[in-house]
Amino acid sequence: MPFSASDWKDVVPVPQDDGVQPLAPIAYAQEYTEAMDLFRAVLLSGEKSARVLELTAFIIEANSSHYTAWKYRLDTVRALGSPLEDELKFVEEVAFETPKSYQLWPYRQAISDQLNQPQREIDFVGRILALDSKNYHAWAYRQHIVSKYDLWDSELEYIDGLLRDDVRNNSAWNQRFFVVSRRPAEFTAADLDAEVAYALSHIQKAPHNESAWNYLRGQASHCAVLLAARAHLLTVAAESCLS
Amino acid sequence: MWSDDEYTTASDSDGAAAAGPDGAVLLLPEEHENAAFNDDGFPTATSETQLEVEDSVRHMLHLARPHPSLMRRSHVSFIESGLRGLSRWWVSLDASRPWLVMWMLHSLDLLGHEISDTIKSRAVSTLSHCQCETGGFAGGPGQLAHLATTFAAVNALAIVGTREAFESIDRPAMYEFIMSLKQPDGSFVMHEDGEADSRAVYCAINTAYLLNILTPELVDRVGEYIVRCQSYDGGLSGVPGTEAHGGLAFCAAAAMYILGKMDMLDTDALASWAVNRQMAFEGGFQGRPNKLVDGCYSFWHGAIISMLEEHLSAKKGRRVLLFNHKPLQTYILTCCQGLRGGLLDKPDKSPDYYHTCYCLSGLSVSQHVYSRTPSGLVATLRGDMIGPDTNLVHPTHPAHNLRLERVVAMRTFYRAM
Repeated sequence: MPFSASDWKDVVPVPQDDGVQPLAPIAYAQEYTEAMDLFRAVLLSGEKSARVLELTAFIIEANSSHYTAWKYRLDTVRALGSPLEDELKFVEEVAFETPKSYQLWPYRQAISDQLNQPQREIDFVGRILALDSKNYHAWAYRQHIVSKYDLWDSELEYIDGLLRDDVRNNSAWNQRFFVVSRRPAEFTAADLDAEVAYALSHIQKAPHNESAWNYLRGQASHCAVLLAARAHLLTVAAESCLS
Repeated sequence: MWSDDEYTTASDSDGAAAAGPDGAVLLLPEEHENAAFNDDGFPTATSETQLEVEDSVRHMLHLARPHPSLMRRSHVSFIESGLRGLSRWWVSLDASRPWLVMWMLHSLDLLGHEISDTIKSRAVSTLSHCQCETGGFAGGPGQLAHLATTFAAVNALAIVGTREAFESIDRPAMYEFIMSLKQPDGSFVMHEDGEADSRAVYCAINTAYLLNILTPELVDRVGEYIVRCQSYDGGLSGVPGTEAHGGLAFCAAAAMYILGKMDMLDTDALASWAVNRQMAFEGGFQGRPNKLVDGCYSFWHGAIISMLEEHLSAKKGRRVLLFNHKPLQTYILTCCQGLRGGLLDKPDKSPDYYHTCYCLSGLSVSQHVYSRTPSGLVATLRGDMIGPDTNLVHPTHPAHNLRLERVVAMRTFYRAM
């Protein structure tokens, strides 16, 4: 057992109160029931300790969607000031088991935002995306890291590599649009030409690839919006000169 | 007309025979092959897995009878078995117990299977044990309140539809709970220290609407947030800048639909994106461009299309139809039914309660067309249904995913309070 029951002799377990004849009850494994009985006791007592970290780790490994265990673990880490490095390692273990868990990503962010290690985060997401290059949560987290640490330029190289592997990777196309439309540098006419050429060169490889066409169309309308804004500014400027 | 048990796949025909054992005609014409994925002679991981899935779908289509049936009895017994209890392998849903109850009850409700008074009472008791003092519902007894499980619990109580069910919800506390999760940008977080996205927005708006606690403060800047989630390809995402995705797009669109703010979105671009998620060969929907078909998107995209049809028809003063419903019904009926009940993602997958709920909900929106009247949304038959008339399920509301009368009953109850 990953957590030692003998460490918990002083705690009275709190069984789950499902009421009478609950619908769709789950026939829990014995160890999970024991862990949850202790966890409920911890929630009531408010205990924050090293053994609580072990307990929540066990519950999260059994059920990585257990948001209450994640949240209580975060509160415990904050209260104890436990090493954040250990938490990153813990998240990585869970991430490679269940990369599609909703909960591990905001947890990762809550920890990593305090550490200021952009390269470590980019490498971590890169390893998850190497397993599944369309993992939705991983991409959302990657966008957070790219924006927070200003990693716009290197991101285009990474996307290039993914599209060389699979020109149909829609997540990579979306990331390109994200970078090009949100990086602080002004979007110039030369940028537009480059993006159109980029999309067309990929369309030539596989003309039935919807992702590349959507990107091209997206750039066209993005550009139309920018041109309209510029035309409006010119009109305003002209009017103010004339008045 | 085919009875339940006549829907069988001719497993002894090894897939080579194009006709059923009784020499019945093909379900689909041979020209259907023209709709297969074109990889332009440039294979990648995406095109290879796509072609593998098309092979498994082709196999099922070849084996299917020309008039595939919805195996109602098998699905009901699959759900009833789930209501009795689940094995230890479902521990991954131990923080989603209101979801399990909602998926099962809604599936029964769509099938028109009467839910007994005992099950109704047990549902109220089960959900009440997940309700927190803070007002929201948690994933299980003793867990923290969470917006998604709150959504599931409130929808499940709407299906139960009894006074006991309605009175079990602490509305003033619920209002405080939802407001405590509201963010300055108009979005909501799922729980304290949790993630904010269009899913959380939908769960908040749907719950507040059904409970008649939708105040201007609660709605403030929601539309502006969702507009920022519309992607360059017309779809809608979870947070601004991320990839458009069927499930999140449904949440974003349904929130706007409930609030009457559809016109803040580029509805033409959304319609184009949503209808293009339907797979030309398989007939079902994918979640994002260049991803694989999955039965659950039958509802997520089907509902977006149904909401757009209703909205654009009312706006333009003429019937706007966008749904290519027959291929979707063929996909659900031939590729998503488990042999021993329950519905599923795609051939070779196992049935589960999530896919049972959303395949049936998708079937429902594909069988009906919705229009607005002063007394609420009404449904009429879309016509040209695949299979026998017994395949018809009850109309589900495309934004709330509840039978239409469940929405009216819950709203009426709280309005009178």
